[in-house]
Amino acid sequence: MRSCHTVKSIRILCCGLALAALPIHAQEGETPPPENPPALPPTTAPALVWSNSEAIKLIGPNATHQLVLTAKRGENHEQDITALASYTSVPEGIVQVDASGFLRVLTNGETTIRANHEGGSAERSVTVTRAADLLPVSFPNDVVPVLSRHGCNSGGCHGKAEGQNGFKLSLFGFEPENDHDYLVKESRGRRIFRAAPEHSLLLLKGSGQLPHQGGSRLDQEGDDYKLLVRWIKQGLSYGPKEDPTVTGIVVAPKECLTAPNALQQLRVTANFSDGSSRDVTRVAQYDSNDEEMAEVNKNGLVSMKESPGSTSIMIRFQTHVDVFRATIPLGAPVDNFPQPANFIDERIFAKLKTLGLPPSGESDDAAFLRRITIDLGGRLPTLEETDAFLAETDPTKRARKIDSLLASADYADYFAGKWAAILRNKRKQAHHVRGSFAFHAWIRNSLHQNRPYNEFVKEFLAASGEVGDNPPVVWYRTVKDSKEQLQDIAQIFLGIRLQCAQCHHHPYEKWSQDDYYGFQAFFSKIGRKAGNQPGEEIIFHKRGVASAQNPRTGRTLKPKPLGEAELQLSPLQDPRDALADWMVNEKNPFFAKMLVNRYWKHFFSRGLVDPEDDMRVTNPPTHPTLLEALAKEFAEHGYDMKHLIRTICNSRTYQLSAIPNDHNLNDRQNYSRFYPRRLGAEILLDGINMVTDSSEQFKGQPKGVRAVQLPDDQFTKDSYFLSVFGRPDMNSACECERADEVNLAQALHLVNSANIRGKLASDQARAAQLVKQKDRSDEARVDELYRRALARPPAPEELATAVAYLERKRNQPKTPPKNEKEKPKTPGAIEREAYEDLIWALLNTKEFLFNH
Amino acid sequence: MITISDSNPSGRRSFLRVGGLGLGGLTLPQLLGWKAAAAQAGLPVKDKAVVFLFMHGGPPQQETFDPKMDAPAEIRSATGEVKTTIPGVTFGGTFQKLAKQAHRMAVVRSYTTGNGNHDIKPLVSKDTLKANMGSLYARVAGANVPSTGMPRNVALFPRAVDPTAQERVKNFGNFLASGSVGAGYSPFAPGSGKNGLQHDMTMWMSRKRLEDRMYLLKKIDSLKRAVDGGAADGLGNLQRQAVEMIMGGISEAFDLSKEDPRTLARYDTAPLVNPNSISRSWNNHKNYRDHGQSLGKLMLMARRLCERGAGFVTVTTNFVWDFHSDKNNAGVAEGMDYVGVPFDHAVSAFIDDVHERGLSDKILLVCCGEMGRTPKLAANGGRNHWGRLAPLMLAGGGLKMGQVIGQSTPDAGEPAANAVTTENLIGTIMHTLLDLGNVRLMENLPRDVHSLLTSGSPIRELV
Repeated sequence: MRSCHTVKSIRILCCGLALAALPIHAQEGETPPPENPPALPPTTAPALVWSNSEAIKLIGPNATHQLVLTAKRGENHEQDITALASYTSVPEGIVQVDASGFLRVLTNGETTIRANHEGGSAERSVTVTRAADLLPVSFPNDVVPVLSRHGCNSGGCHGKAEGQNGFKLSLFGFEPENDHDYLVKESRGRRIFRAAPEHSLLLLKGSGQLPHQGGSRLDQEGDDYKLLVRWIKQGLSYGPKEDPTVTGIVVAPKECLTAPNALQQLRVTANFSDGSSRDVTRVAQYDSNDEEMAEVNKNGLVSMKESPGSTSIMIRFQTHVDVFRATIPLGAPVDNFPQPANFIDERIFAKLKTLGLPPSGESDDAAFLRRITIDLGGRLPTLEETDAFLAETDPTKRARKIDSLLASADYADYFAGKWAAILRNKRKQAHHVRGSFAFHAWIRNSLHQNRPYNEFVKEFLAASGEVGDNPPVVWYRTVKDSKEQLQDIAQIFLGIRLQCAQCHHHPYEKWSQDDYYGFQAFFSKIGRKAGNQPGEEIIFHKRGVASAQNPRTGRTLKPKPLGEAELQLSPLQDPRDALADWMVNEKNPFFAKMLVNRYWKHFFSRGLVDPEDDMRVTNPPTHPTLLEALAKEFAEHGYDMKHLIRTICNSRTYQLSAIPNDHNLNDRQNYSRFYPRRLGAEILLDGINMVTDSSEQFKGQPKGVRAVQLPDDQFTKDSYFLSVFGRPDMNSACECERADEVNLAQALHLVNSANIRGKLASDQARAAQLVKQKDRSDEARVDELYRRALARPPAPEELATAVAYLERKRNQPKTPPKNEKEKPKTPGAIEREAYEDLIWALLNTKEFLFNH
Repeated sequence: MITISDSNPSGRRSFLRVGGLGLGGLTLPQLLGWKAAAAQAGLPVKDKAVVFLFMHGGPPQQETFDPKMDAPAEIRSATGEVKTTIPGVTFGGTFQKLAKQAHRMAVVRSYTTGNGNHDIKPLVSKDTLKANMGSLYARVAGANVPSTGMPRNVALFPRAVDPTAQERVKNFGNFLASGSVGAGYSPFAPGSGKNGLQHDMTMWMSRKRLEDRMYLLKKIDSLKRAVDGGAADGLGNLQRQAVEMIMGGISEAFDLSKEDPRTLARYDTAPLVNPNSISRSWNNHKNYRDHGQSLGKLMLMARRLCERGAGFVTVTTNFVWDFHSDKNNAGVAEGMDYVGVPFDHAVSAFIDDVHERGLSDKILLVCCGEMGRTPKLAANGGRNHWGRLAPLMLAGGGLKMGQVIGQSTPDAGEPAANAVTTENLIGTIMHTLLDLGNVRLMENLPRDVHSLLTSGSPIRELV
């Protein structure tokens, strides 16, 4: 059971939701510092500056304070030296100050803390009062945080639903009343021994004196152990109900521009309902969102790593969270930036300048054409399109290409597939086909007509009636359970993953179970009756008061928009209409952001918040102001999806080359180059068909229908190619269901399958056609193949390689037939094989398999 | 998926061939590498494998693991009983060899499958989301071992070892079902024809031509570096591996001639039942033949596959446990001669061999059918369908062995205590294969798979 002790386990939740820990960041759009972080030798003594200058007042024997100290050298060089400075207190004996700048109370009085570092110094006065008072320990405010901090109540240990070895705690201590019962009363009180507190099972096991699967968690000399002892001695009190409760936590500093391998001490303060506040630096929990970028220890000391970029540390105390963000610059020269084309570039480039991370150059026309045709049309450019585009000299040709693709049916086909997958357009039974085709057609038409996104969502969400009249009701056929409905809707359209809150307070968010069940109430009045065709349903609003019950508290909740009060709806009102109204309202903080983030990821492989549909405080965007600006632009333009796409695709950022420069090969979050990604299953299959001039016959579809046009999940099941390359089964509201990895089964299929062999070697296929064109030179034919497969002519050395291969094959000594029946190969057959080999090789190149 | 230690004396030599020949030249570092790869990918997969021997047709309780010799003649085992290595516990008289392994087994006498229909529950049912249970595992672990392409979920039918055997039985359910788990996770069935992956691994062009192609691809790919970083960097490696697999053939894992002939002889059940001695009066006589000819070899192959990275291996021998004594099937006593004797031999050889190889804690064997049989023997010597109690036996997997779990009523008709259901069985299997605490954290698992895996309750006495 090592797993519950690793840092990762702090992330352990009770449900399988994604808690991806991804790098994060701010800073973009802000003025970069004039200099990049200099490694100046300290010529003069630094000025030492405390994080705040208020006098420190420590009240009670257990009060603590984390100092945070910065050294300033010149205007632009700041360094956190909390862990490096030396500390003394004069007079001694009032407080104890350790090497990490952490203060503990010794006795009443006044003292001055002096910090020294490389010749600089700073002082601060501290007052201690009530040091001798025996303050009562509060179970929720003192004991539970200790259990959280040591991972006792994490999802991998006692916090999971069934507990661990018979001892259960509420997950992350979200239900302190229950925890008090578990500790004090359950199992006939065997966990606590009042007469001799140190002999309580809780402490013996927790400190490893008795065998404990979770190992030794508590140091017997440590503050936390002593606190538990004190709590037992004081009589196991829960504490008065009127005890102040925590209203929020604040980390300082909130963000910083630092340097590779630098340290940063954090200080966390909890604010209480009575207006008081307390240092909880040593009781809060810390979790790095990306340990490749920065690590954090349990005292809140962050250590940056080498890689440049932004990252964040998540801090949790009871049900409250805050985030610290660090930006680590690379510091390469940044004087040669392209001119921004729009606000996207302004913000992306500003951040790259801050980071000292120069972008790659502009993509060439061929790369752009291939990329935009894939990203907008879901297909490779045709030979004719390639030739025309490369020949054109008009400087506006890229913008015009974007427009023409957006206007084409290909755009609607491609994006309809994307939406059909997350709207789970499944054909679970054969007779579902009418509905799944109709729903796909509805999505496709909406996109083709460019219906505003808010209207699209409203019509979808509040769909009632029968499949033939109102195809979006098909969603309610696939997603029957109201919990699944609420979870899907929140994830797809609001970017909120509410699953956790079904069973407990969301560990990384403000959402509670009341939020969950209040949201479920919107789906509590969906009626169903038999439809016109066998197996079909009519969806209608069942009159009555919409409500749902929180099973833990037993409270009945009316429909409640997230973060708002319950709604009072009349029994005649379909609550889904109210939900749709709230969602598409321009004041809704989630709606527009979610869509722009989803589309951003479509084009850049990574969301500004990533995963794209997990937008929470603790998973902040890499470029917050850009996300805001995009959402604003989208809303102001009437939720016009094509306008949004046009804005993104016309940016210089989108049109950057995928080829890395000396600095940005490892960049994965700052958009300093285009990140290549494997072609999606459908695009790849259609592309191979186009290059080899073959076609696919999908069951129940007319000849000529391409993979990207397929309406429902059945085709993934029917086609080995599509399933092995990750076309989704449409089981999930998350686009992550589409696998974009490269695996061995795929490589095998492309290298050696009967499927691909058939496409290459058929008598009607490309190789056979080319061999017949005897009047054309090898060079001309190879050139054509390159333009078909890669949307560019071959470079001279590529041409030479290919032609040499063809020649060599033609001239190689004939293998004698193995037996009398076998006829020797004709020169024509040998030549055809050589062309098949060449096309095979092109289809297996990275350049073909990837969008770049 | 299990990791094995070097039990092969040629290990040192093969150590030198790292990255050599894919499955054709498995090397120790590769074997060990799988676990590391899974850990690296953060997969909540334990170092274990399950072999599910499905006793299709519905085995009788009394003649297998619950003889009831104190009961009236029509109830008690028609084949007598045999003492086992656990004091006071006896098995049906056919299981002479298994009786000596009883301390390495756990017999459940209170298992119920819920109904007396011929289908392929508990292996595939709505309890498993209509997928082969192995598909659930593969959904978490991945369809293939990344480094070798070895399928994680495999199903073995007599055809896998005996090309003259009949096609697998399809009338009662699809053993290769992947239900709502996803088509990519269905079991890989060697020798069964048109499975995408197996097909792709079979070389169809001349070696020379494949080499030519790879040479050309490498050359072309190196001329222009349009794509760098991320997944693209791995592609070249995968292509090389693919070619190695095709050239080396996946055959090694599935090729029993690579096994020590003495081991093969130890497993082989073919000599036990002479096909000519099987009465032709039963329409299913060919099934009995296939069972005897193949079961030992199938069990040996299952063990080989587990050692090479498979995590869930279904073994079944074409519907032989249906003892009605009608025109299709033999009665109990005669049927146990055709079916029980090879079972006794193959399963005890498997348990013994696995033990000797130090893999007892790594490989879990599960044996059961879709139901049990009527407590009362019919006048014709047959037993009919019975859904209220069914035999279940488990061995190894690091579970607590050497015990009898639960009790049946005196007529072996129902559980008398500690009833065990299919849900418990699934829970036990998934508990063995997966780190369920971490499965709960997996993103991207379909909800139904997620909740099925994480809500199971293993058989209490075993874990």
